[in-house]
Amino acid sequence: MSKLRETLEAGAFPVVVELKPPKGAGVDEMLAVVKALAGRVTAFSLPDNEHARMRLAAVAAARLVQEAGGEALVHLTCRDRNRLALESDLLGAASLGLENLLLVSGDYVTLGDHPQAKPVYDADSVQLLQIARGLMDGHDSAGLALTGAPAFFLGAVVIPEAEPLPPQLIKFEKKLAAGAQFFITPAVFDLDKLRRFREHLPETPVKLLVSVKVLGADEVAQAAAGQWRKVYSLPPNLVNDLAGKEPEDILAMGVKAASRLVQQIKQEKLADGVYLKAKGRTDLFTKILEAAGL
Amino acid sequence: MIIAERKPFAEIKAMLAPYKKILIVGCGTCVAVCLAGGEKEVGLLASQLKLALGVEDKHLEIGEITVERQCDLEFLRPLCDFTADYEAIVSMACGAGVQFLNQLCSLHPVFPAVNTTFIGVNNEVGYYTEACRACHNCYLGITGGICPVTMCPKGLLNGPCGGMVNGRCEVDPEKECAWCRIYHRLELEGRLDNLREILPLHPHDRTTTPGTVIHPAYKRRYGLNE
Amino acid sequence: MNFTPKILAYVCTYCTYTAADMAGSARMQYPATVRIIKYLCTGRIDIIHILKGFEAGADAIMVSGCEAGSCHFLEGNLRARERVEYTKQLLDEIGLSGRLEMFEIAASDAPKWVAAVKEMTQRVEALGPNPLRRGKHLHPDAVEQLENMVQP
Repeated sequence: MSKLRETLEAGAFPVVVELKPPKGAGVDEMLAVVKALAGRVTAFSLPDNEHARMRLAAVAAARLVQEAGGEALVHLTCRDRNRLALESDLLGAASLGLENLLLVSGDYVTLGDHPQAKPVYDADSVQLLQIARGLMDGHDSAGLALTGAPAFFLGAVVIPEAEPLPPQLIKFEKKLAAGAQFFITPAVFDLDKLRRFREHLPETPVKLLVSVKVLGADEVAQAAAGQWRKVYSLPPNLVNDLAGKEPEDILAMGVKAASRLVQQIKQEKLADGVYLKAKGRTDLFTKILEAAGL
Repeated sequence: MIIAERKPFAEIKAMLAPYKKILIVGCGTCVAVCLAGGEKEVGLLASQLKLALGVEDKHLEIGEITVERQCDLEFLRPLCDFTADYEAIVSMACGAGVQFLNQLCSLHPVFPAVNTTFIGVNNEVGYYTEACRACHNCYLGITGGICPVTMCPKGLLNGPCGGMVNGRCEVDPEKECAWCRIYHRLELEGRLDNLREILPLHPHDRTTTPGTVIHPAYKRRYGLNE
Repeated sequence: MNFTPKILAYVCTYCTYTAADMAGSARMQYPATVRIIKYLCTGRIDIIHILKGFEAGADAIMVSGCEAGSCHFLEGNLRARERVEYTKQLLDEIGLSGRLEMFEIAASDAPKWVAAVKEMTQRVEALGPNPLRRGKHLHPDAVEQLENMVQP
């Protein structure tokens, strides 16, 4: 069984760190992070053409991560595949020993680096969860029986700061009904918003990983210019503190802020675990983990 | 109706470069309403071509005619006698009209003068927005009369994606998130329960092109007795 | 350059036409380059009227209507401006840029009319004749044809 699942079910506060699959075939840098952190974190997360920017296949990267001694959490996006490809990639992932999945709709193609590509979205994230659940039950989406059903630990995204929230909550319930076993949020900077969101969680316990992110200089500049348009908000005083600083200083301050957030989330039990985003850099991850006492 | 945009003039001019005598055929229905290929636009294109070639001291003889609907054989057939004198035909109809005209006038090359863009609505004069993707499986009864297939760029059937910010679309912040609109409309109508059920995967087999529809009353005529 | 520009002026009867009339009765001097076609409102001016004017050999066309807010038909002049802007794009595509302009001249503003005609005349002298004219004069029937097109 997946370590991520065991840790979550044991209530032992798993830590997932997000890697950046390379734009190219050189995987050494990505795997160096795995080698350095394999003993300290629960799993390594592999985004699938994140922000619609083409990168090395997440499933392949995930397999390499496992070979390098880490556990992988593979993202799979509906944007780039029709249902045949989604299903065969899911089976392919299972055959490579990949169990943890994060099933997402995917950022739209025009926002990425191949804006003229054809967007697929044959399924949406809810339907993809149903498809994966069906595979686990031994049949594909056409109802045909499989030889050897895969075992998955199914993750989905939920947006605590969605505005308006009710449509997002409906989708959240659908994802639960479709078979999601854990949820990951986008980056959270304002814990009050997370606390308020937790009031909407259903009675039955839902495993929630909250993302904690180290902002880059470009993002800080964007926010300082009033151009911030993301599904998570940045507290104005954080932006004021970071604006205009040197890129490495911004990262260093971001690491401190991130470790504080992680500590608080853990202490207050605001989540069952954390999902760290820090440019895929070992040094930043290590500092966060150390400062947060993990 | 079908919305179209006129092709850039340079593209049309280049297509017609080899010919000395052409017929421009407008269409009096959708493309006339969206000011892309009706009688008026036929006149404008003809005049523009005459001027442009005149500037280069060349001559092009241009015939102008507009039929009510180029996608309808009844209106198109009388045109056939008329085309014989010309070397090439320019259709200002949507892609359907161009192809139908092309099928009928088999001896002439037929060129499109517009790019067909979408099925949409006429918000105000000159301002058109897409409203239907002709998906063969209408969800509007469930989704409060707002189409998730068309109005959501991702065509998501089960709620908003994670990119919605303040009720705005991830892809175009100028636009309201289709799923927010659907939610608010159903809330207003007291029909939010419509959204509880997960909509299944879309039956894309029905959208295999080219589609054919035979009205049930005409099945016998077209040899489709069951 | 040895040519006399032929400029067509599509003008509104309520404002520019009156201004031109006043310029005449006041014996104001301006180049004899302009032929006036009178509209009840510039809102009646169709894009095709402008293109046909150039087909007939006009070196330039000036459209002149009421000042914003003072159209007798509320917004005919605003519509004319939209059409003129679009027609400029069509002319750019053809290669006849710079030969079309929109003016707003109130009925009492004869000097502005004189200035506008002078401006367009200078502009055409710089651009040279409409290439479609090939040294010929404006077709004698052209103005009449245009007038017929304007009258319903």
